[in-house]
Amino acid sequence: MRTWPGLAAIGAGLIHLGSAAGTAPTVLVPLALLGGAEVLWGVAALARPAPPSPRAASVGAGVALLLTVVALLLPPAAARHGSVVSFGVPAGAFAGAGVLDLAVGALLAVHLLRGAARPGEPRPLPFLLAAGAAAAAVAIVTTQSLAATSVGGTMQMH
Amino acid sequence: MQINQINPGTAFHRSPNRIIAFLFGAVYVLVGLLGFFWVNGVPFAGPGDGSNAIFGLFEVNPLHNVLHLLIGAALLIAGAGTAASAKAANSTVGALYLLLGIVGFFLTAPDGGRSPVNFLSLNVPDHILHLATALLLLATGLGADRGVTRASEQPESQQTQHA
Repeated sequence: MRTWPGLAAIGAGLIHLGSAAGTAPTVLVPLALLGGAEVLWGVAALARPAPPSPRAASVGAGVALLLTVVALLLPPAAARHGSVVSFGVPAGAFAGAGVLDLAVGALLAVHLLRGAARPGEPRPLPFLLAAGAAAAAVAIVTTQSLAATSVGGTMQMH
Repeated sequence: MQINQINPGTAFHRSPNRIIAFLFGAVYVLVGLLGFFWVNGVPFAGPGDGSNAIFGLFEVNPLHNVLHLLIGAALLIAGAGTAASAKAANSTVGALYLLLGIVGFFLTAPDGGRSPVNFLSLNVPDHILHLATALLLLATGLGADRGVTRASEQPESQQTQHA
């Protein structure tokens, strides 16, 4: 379970980076920065024994989730006046990133409530089963979300 | 060399990196071999027409199969070696697959993946498999066997020489 926050953050970062492609510069820059930060934090979380800066990261995940919900719930009237939605960011991709950001926040909350991570190496089989399940889930959510973006919009299953 | 001079390193069943490298290596070698049964009439480095999908799911072409064989062999060899070599191989292959997962979307975007730009004949199931592979290999390579280094797994005689 110690790999889950990192994997979810990498998935959310990839979706945000993919969503940034083809959008207006005012949306592209913050989305690309957010996506890049998520991927870097995810890699750091995998490489370290415990997620780095869990409080700041949980706040960041919360802010990203809040912006996702606002972007998805904006009424069409607001969208016409320069909201994120009107800049061409795909709602389906944002929903996928929101799910992964929610997972990151929840896992960090559990980590903070439990306290310091147990020292020592994890047992191989439980580690691989947990990491494999998380990798498969994140890969499915990420791929389906990226398929809703401009770079994946014309992809076919076969 | 006396037998008690050999440091066996991290045993296979105790190293998540060796297990996953060996397992994924074997699977990718098998997939690489199996893929050649589905590439009749498919260009060496170009997209197929959809009939070139292993079990109707994962599209391949001959170049894609060759890369599967090479990556599988590298992981198999690393998994059969030491935990340090498996950890390095998993991290490297994981990073490469993550890059392919991102670049792959740009390769398949033109013309629904039927453009010559799609030189690996990728499709959506390929993307899912590559991304899942990348995430699992990265998680294992970066997150498991933390205490293992190349120096700690060398034979004791070599460690003495280095000291």
